Amino acid sequence: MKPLFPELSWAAWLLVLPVILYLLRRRPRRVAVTTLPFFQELSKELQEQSWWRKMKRWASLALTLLLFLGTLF
Amino acid sequence: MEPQFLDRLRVLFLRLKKRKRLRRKGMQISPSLGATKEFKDYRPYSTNDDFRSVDWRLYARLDRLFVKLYEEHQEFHVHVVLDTSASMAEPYEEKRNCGLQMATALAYLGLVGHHRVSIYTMEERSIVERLSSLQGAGSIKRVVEFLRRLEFTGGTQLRPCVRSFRPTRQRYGVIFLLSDLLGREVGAAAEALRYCSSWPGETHVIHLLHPQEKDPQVEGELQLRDVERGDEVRLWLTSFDLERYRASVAKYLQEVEVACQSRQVDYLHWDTEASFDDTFLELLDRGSVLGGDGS
Repeated sequence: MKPLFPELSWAAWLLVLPVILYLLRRRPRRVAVTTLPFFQELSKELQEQSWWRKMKRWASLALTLLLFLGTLF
Repeated sequence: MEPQFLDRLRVLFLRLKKRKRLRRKGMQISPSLGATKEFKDYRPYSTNDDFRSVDWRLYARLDRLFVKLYEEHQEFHVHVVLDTSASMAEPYEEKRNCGLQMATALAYLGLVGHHRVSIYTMEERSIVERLSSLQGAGSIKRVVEFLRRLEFTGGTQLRPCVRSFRPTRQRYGVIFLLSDLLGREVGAAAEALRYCSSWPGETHVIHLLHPQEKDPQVEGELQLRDVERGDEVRLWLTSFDLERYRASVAKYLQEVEVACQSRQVDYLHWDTEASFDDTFLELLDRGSVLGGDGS
């Protein structure tokens, strides 16, 4: 596999950017509540299983990296 | 609790809404008539009246028969049930403070009224008697000491708790349930309160809620953690979702109130931002337990 633009190989370090953004992503605020059943009942459609949420996050990072690599090679 | 407030309570005394003739006689004066030595009023004589109650001196003066009426003294139990689940103390400490203040005041009122006072805590699946049949105003020290050391932890399953509470008929009296009525399910409270109607006495439910529980000031992406069970839920809350939340809580409050009213249980919703004095006096003013000269 040869880079399409060898003169831009120096820009490979830009791959680090999405990884950094992924690590520094904004985490949700943790709030202690007494009325969780009300929130659960309220927005069942908004709730996601944690494994699905994690998978989406990883998929998003992988796609971003692929996009960068696709641009370079 | 301010000493002045306790002094004000001294002039109040408890009385039962549904007067009930009790086997045991105590020190409490009730509006009903009985056979103690304290004179209350006269009434014209009628057949079936006991001749011994006729005031013969009055007969000599007025030439009419009158019977003497005396105060009836009643003694009853005051049961104070306090919810000690984690939701009563976390994240809003005001609920715990209000609950403790109310429990102290009710116990004090019962003790100075020469009633027997029992303190219970509402735990995971049952209501447990922690201080049993206290008597005399001096016992307030024990109550205060006990409540001061009380820990608020764990969760509450309302249905088994309310069902488990079965004071004996000999302990007929006034029952005060102090709780936020928050359980594992939204509809659990209204269902649990059905069992209150079988309690031996006049029941008062004092529902403590913090304003933030009715109208949370949060928005955006949140990781919500249940203080009792530790469950976590991640949500993205919009103002529309919060509007639905408020409506859901309002419906729940209405259901709880209706559940109480339909079973002749007195219901008082206490917003913890409201003044303690006003709420307490409102509870007494509802005709449920107010007595005394009120000064």
